[in-house]
Amino acid sequence: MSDVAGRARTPFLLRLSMVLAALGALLSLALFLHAGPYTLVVFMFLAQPLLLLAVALFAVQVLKDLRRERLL
Amino acid sequence: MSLPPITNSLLAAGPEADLGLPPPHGWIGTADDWARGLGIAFVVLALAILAVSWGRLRRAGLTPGLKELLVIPLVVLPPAIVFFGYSYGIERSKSIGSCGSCHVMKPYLADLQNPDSSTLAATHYKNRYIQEHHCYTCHTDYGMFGTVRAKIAGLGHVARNLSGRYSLPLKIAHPYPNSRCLACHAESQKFRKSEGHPKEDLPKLFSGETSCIDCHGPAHPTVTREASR
Repeated sequence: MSDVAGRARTPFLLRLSMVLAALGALLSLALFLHAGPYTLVVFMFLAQPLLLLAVALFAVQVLKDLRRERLL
Repeated sequence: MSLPPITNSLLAAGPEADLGLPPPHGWIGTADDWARGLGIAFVVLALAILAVSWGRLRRAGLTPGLKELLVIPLVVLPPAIVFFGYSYGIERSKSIGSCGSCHVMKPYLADLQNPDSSTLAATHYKNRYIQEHHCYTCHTDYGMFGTVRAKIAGLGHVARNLSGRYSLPLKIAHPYPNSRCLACHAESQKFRKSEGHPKEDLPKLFSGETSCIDCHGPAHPTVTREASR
């Protein structure tokens, strides 16, 4: 299957959730590697909301799938 | 103000550094070490699974197996990363290296470690009256919300340092409360029997009418210009 076809079949919310989770994880890594006031602030106000948003978007996508398949 | 070399080496070493001997770690490490190690492990695991999943998505689209795999980096690992991030980050933010990582704090750290200094902070530091987290111990209220208030104030410090909205000499935001001194000193015999603290004056000290700093200050040197970068 081509890349374009693969992307087309992948829900946008899921892809967005993956990107946000990766960004949140990378920003968290900065804190673990170099703990300081700035990395802590970035972790609290950027990384944590990104990870939370990633979880929420994944949950929305799962609910959508369940409704589409009439399991909910 | 020129800094003694020892301070520069401390700051270069980062927030982990302190001049004293490293605290005992035991063979298994401290809770901090574990929080950091597990945090890094979970972040790397999440990134690896996300990278593999992204590749599979592009090649074969979304399969039931991939959906199940994505539960790990999108549901299971984020709360764990956040938990260990706070465990490690909040604890490390109490170190003097963390307070000293802002440039404006360098002279205060230099004074802390200056053996010739007679400021209250230096006296406490060089005599190891406080074992660790020296800045944090004296600048945080006791009680349930002491830490919360200190962290909120810390956010303000970061914002002001970042924006440069501060003026020298730095001044404490609120009058220094005696309760922070008395939490350690009030019950000590040296304090109770001191001629400088007659019994009739104790109520004034406990109520805050008389400030400890009035007689025992200055707590820090007066810094009127920033240390050279």
